[in-house]
Amino acid sequence: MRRKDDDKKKKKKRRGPPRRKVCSFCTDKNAKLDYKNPAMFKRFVTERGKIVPRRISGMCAKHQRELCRAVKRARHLALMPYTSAGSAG
Amino acid sequence: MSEERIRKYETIVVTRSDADHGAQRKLHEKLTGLMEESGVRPIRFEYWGKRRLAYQIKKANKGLYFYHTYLSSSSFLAEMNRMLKLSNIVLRYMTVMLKDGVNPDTYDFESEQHFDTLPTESDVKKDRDRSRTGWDEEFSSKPKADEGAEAPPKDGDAAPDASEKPAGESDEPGAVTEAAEAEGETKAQEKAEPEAKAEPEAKAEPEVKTEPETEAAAEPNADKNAEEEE
Repeated sequence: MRRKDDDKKKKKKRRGPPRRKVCSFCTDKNAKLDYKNPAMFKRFVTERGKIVPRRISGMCAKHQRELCRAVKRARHLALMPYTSAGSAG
Repeated sequence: MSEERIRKYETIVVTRSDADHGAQRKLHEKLTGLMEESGVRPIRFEYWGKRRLAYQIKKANKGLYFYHTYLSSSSFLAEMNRMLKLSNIVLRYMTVMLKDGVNPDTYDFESEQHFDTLPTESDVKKDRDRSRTGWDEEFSSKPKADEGAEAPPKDGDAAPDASEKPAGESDEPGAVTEAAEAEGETKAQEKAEPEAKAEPEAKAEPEVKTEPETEAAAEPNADKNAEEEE
């Protein structure tokens, strides 16, 4: 909820070429995608629990695959919702 | 059995938290008994406590999480899966292979070995603080030991790789609970209130905190762009 409002405020007109995104898991070698720790990939999943496409998140293909696997495993174990349409969390 | 290929696996079992404690114990003993019979070499057992499930499973909202790591052959998995499938109190279970082709004679058990004791009945009843799912907890960016060595992109692609990984991974569940406890300490006052009220507040704050990081990362570049244009 809050995040949406913030996004609106943040919206500015940007000129020039779009910023190049860098995969955060490639830059930070210590960060490991682990399905047992779903809080870790919160940033790569929408509030509803959908996986953010990599054209938006800027993940590299390799880590997007790993993310996808991790999210699906976490969902199976109910560590993370498949969808949170009704409730907030 | 000894002819078969030995692999390193981890299994997570989620059981009903409202089930009879005796049944929990029985299931655990059955599982460990089966492990012993089939010559499985246990490496690690962790009790993660009672956690809120991210969604309802068979009318249950909370589950007890048990985490096992062990060396075994694939024939054991078939037996274990059958057993877990038949149990009434098991909500979910999942086995993931961590490493293929392990030699149990040369495997370094000691570095990872850790066995939690099974919680007593009163422990389970008391265990309300960990009602969050992993989903609710904040990302803990603690650098983990033994993980830096893995660099080249070739490695990780297909199979779970080198020995660093399992070691690091088995540390992480601990890190999750640590993070939860740390949060718990700072927000102890809020927690004293009923959970349902306390949690949304607790959640809202960290969420806001995470954003400045991404913004901070974004802004320097934006400034550069502006300068270039001028």
